[in-house]
Amino acid sequence: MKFVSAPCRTSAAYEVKPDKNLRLILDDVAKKLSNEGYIPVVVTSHIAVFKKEYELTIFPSGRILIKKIEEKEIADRIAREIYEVLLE
Amino acid sequence: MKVLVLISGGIDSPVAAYLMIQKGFKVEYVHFDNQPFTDEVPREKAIQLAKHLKQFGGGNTFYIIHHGLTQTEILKSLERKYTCIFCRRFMYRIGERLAEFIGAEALVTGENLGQVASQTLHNLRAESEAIRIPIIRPLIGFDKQEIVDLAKKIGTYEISIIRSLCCTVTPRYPETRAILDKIKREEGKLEINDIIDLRLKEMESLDI
Repeated sequence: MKFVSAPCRTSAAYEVKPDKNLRLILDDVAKKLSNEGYIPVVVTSHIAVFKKEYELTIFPSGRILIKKIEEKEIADRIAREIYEVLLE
Repeated sequence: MKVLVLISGGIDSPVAAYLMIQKGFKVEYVHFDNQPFTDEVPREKAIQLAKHLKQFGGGNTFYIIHHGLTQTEILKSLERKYTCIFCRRFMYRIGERLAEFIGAEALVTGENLGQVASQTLHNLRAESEAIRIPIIRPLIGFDKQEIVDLAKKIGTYEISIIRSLCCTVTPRYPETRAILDKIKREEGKLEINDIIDLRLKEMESLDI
């Protein structure tokens, strides 16, 4: 799964964008990520927010915002894990 | 005369508050906390800004509304491209009820025409229609640089630019020409008064 990651506009989170629109159904995303230990905070059809040691905001396109981390390498590792779970 | 300032933690609303204080108004503040669709930083910045503005004569009480819960209702039930308009209509409605409660005669915002996609004249009209008390927008005709210069002069700029996550609820293509009938029809899907009552019941107030 190819993606690009960079600090978001305000640099308060890392923004990860896949190279294609994943058309995710966020209810399904919530079920899969709950099995991986993520706690769903809010799940709607447009946005879902999850907590672990960091916080994820996931959009149906597959775009992810990762809050409470400091390094791009960590953002990339988290994103890879998430996409693996979602696309398996 | 007292007014209620909707303070966000950004650059504009503290400047709007300052201008009202300079005109001799007594101000109180309400912040709409958008967590989990942002982080905790805007809330902290808004509190700091209100404290900073005290040196000019600004308010003693700071109210916090848990707006993320309202945003969730909006996201779950209403048409996506109007999200920003519904969001503001709810902020105004809750602000109006709070203003009545504390004896404020008007709401004050840092809105500024054309600064973001959703701040068009069509949208401001559709948003303002939700309430009856006046909304004062001291910055409506300012350009961004004027606002930044004033923020620097009064010392709020450095607080406002502290890194925080921007609102993640904003749709990719927000509506810029809101049609009021459509907005009202959509909002009819929600129990508006129940949501407002609940938000006011959960409201926090801080002495600053």
